[in-house]
Amino acid sequence: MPRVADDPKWTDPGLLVMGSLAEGPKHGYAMVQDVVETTGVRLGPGTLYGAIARLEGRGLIEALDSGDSRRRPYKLTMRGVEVLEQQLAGMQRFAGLGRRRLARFTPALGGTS
Amino acid sequence: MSVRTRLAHVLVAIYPPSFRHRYGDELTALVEDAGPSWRDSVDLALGVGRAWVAPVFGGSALEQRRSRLQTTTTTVLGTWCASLLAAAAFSKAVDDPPLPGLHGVALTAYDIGTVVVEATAAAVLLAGFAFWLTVIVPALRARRRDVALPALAPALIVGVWLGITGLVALLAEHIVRRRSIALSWPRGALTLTVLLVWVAITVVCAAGCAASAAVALRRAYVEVTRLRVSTFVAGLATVGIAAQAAASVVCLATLLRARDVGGVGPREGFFSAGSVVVVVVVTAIAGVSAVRGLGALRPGPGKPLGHTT
Repeated sequence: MPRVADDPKWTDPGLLVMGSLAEGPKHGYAMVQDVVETTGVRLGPGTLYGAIARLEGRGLIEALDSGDSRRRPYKLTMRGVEVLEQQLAGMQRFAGLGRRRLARFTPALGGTS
Repeated sequence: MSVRTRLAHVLVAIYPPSFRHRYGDELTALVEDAGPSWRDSVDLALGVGRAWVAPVFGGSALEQRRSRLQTTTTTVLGTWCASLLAAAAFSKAVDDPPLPGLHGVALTAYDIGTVVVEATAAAVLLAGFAFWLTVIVPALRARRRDVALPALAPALIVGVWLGITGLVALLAEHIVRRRSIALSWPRGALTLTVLLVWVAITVVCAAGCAASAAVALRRAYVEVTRLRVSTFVAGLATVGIAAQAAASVVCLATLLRARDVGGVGPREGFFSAGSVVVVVVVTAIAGVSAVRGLGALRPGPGKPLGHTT
């Protein structure tokens, strides 16, 4: 079923950025491409750098030294890894609970899955 | 360069200076790599709004605090300049000549507001001058023109403004007394035109003073210890601006109710109500910025400020 605009979202830009950096250090454009490929969500430049600034301000990500100041890569800090793990664990618990509830609910609707 | 690329560059340029300094090059590179689109332009515009309303500062915890204090200092300075203009407009509207209803509560509120504006101006100018010396003297010693020029600019701007004001006063007197200039114009229209031009010049000069002081402060890279003092003065100035707003609201409300003596005419009403709106808005801006700045004075040097600053 295709998603519609009013559907509840889990696509918090900060979470998407941290999820992308979990793979390894990336600069802005690489993050945008990775997030599009993995989630289908396209982060605009203002949204992306707003999220980067907030995450950096909270010490969850940090910029790496590179020769190109225009394409500075970022990586997760140890605190960022901990926060992402907590978030993903919470999402996983929620997803599992939701699936178990749906499994009981779907037969009543005559679902086939 | 396409229109969308130009627009994207303009939008990046109007981000708050601290954000632009930290992320401006990366944002520009991202827009160029991704190819500018209208959707990205809208997203950038929204990002600009968010960055101004809820600024986020990068770097170490100490650098975040320094940026926060610097932002509060420059924001309150700008709002104080605006409140000074609003006070002048309010005074012109209700007291030059005095409105018939300007007595009793209205007059008391007006007098209190005037004293508050003058006391705040004295405090800001005295503290500002001392702070200015700590910026300009090292800059001149180090031959840092990038700091010295914007730091000296407010004095130059005020000088130019005084010169223009003198010329306008002479011109106004000429129009009123001799009527020898532009006789084809109605005298009232000519006087109003000159007045509006002068008001526009005054607003530009005030904005120029605040902006050049902010640029000098940013380039001087003043350390946290001195910014603590300027932030504290900014807090006091905010209290003054808020008291000015309260006094103007009370004065205007009382004047508007005094219908038995003519109330407030359309022109006086427009300028007095407009100046009250301005001072209330700048009070809100200064208040939010001062609360955030004074809040940043409290935590220890190693404690991050978080994303809510």
